[in-house]
Amino acid sequence: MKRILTSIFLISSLHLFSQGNITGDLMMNVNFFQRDTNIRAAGNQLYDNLLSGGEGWLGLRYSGYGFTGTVRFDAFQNSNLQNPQSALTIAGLGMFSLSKEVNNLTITAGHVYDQIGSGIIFRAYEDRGLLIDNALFGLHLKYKLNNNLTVKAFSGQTKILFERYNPIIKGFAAEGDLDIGKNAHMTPGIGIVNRTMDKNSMDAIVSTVNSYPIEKRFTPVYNSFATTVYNTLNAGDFTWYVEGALKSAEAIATATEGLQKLSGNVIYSTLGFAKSKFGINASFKRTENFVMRSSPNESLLRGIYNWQPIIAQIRPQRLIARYTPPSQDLSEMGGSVSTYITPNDNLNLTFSYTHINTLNNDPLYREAFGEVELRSIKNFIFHVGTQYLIYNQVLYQSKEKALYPTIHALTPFVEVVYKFNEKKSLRTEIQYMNTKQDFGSWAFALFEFNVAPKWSLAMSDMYNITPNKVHVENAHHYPNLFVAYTKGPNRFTAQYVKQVEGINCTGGVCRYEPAFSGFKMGVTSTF
Amino acid sequence: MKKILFYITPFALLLFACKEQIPVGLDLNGNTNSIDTTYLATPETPLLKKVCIEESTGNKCTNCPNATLQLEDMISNHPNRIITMAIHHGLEEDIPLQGYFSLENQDAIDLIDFIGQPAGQPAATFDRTVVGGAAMILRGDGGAWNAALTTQLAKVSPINIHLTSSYDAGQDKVNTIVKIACTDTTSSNLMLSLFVIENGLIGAQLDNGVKVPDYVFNHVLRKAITPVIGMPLLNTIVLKEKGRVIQKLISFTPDAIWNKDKCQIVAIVHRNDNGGAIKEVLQVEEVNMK
Repeated sequence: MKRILTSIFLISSLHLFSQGNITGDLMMNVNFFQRDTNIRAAGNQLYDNLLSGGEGWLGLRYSGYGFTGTVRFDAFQNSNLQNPQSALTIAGLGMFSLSKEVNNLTITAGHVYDQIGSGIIFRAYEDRGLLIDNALFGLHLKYKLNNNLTVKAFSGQTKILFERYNPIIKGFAAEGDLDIGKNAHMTPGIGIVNRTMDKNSMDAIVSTVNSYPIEKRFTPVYNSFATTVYNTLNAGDFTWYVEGALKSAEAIATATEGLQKLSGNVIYSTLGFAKSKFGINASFKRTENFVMRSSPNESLLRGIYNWQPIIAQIRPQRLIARYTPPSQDLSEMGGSVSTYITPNDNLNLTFSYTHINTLNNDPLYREAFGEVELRSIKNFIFHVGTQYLIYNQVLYQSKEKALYPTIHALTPFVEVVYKFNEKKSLRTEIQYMNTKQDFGSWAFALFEFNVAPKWSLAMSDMYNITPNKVHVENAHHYPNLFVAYTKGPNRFTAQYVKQVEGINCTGGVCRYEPAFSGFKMGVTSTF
Repeated sequence: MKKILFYITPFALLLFACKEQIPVGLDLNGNTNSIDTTYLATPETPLLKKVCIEESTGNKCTNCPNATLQLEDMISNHPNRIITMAIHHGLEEDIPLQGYFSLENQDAIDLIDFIGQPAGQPAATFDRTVVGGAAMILRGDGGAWNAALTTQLAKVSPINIHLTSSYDAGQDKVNTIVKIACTDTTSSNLMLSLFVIENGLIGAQLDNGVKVPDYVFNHVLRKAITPVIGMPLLNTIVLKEKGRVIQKLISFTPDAIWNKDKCQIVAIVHRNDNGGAIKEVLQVEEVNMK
């Protein structure tokens, strides 16, 4: 009987899978830690005792018959990803989700990744570079009422590694999709999110409030509400996005006053105009006390269940990337304007300006940026540009004002790509950052040789050419040797790295990372 | 658009319609006093880490006296390195006519819920570290407890605790000063818990199937002064840097039923990381109440 049942199961499984589609992806990193006391890559167990570690993710996805099942195995073994100064060892089912579409209703259970609008009131997403994975563990329903209107609702808890925060997140959103005349299209939406705290989290808040002077005590609430209205309008050559969000008063952790009961609001807008040879983009954002965490007892990247768009542009240049400003959720008002002009096929000019203050008008960030792309010389592509920035290190990095005055830095850069033939190319980058603050001035050079589509070899060095003696005793080199081999869907990388301590930003979210010294290997694969 | 409003309006009304009651324990008028200060100082030399053993026990738990003896042996073998707290619950009965007086209280129940229910009694948690999937380790033959203790004794704590307590008879207030000094930088969310324990309580206890009518109960958890889960320590400061000192003066009124001469204050600093999943005790200290 068992054999018969097993046979039936196998046959039905084979039949099922033969009708569906299985895809997946693998990502693995291995780090070998090499002590280097000169750059402060030492003094913790990773460098002193453990010497190696890594992490890996294997995801599998089956889809067929309107059903989708996803499962992901996560493993961290002496990993430095969560806290670059200590080892994390844990493994298990990182996420799973089961989804079925029934007529126009899509039902999903398990770990859900989704967002409302740009993510200001709710965003569940994954960013492996910073080990952010705040999937919502619960139920998610999406119903397409007609071709112009979709509504969705969800309820669950925010994930952290293999655990979940106790507070409950519930939400609802409605999104439209409408044509306005022949040349215009709009996608409006509204959303609401409610977070209900658990008793343990509230006890901790109550305990903190009880420790305040009587005049500063307040009544915390279990429930917070946030609502948003947004719209994208495409009309001819214009694209305009606008979103306004409000949040009810609740206990939030402020920078200097501890917990306070405050309501919040955000307004965010982008406007773009693009013609064949000219384009301009502008963005604006004002944020006041818009902290969205599972509870105010969480700090750093913990417990966040939204995402705030970033006004400043994230630059790929190594030196400029040292001072990328993350979004501020307590107090920020900023705007940026970026324009490009393409007089002909061989010339492209880009200029931009960014201006960000606190709501008290304390300067946070300024950037003036210009870049020229030149393709008129055969087999060469030139990028020449410069950036001037002002960066408030005290507010962005919680540094002591007396030791870390606001950074003023001028960074000219050149990038030259030379194509030997269709497959082989050499890319060279030279950057120089002139600043008297923080670690002082830097020089950076990179040479990258590519043999498409398989090989990429690179060597670079970052040198603290004029160190600021307040923070750096001696100038140090931070070399990097890199090789990547790609064959089909598989990519293998290896690199020797010395990396200066600093802020690592991905997608507008940043964290401090200490110096790294050692060897890294990686494998990625999709199938 | 009308349709959207039709669906959303009741939902929004439901959410906003109900008014919350004031959270339990909130003191807007200042009946409990807590005065905090924090500053940076020359980093202290790390003190030897003390191990916090929270024992799950009960007066009708026939194997618990043996467990308590093992803990007493541990304390003797490692002087000034172990602080124990007996949490009475589970196999704990209140039958005054038979001499069984329950020492269970709401804080004991809440603390067990917070640490995690044991699979049986006797059980104990060693610095609230998870062993084999649970923080509460069943005693069995005692080997698992010995192993857990050895592991925790070998650790170095980034926290020193200095604890003093005095009793103001005029105001019937216990004034406790907790000074927490970071001897190493930590990014953990830190929580401070203060408990009152009492020694020398006498009542009946089942011991290897025999009722002992005048058993002496020591280290008995009587009350949590802070919330059972602890109170956050500078959760607005991302990195509690080496040399950071946090001082708290906490005053409270002792229960009349306690014998204050036999009461002690236990201060525990523990982590609250990964959404509360990690509760490891970093340092523990105790002092006589008066």
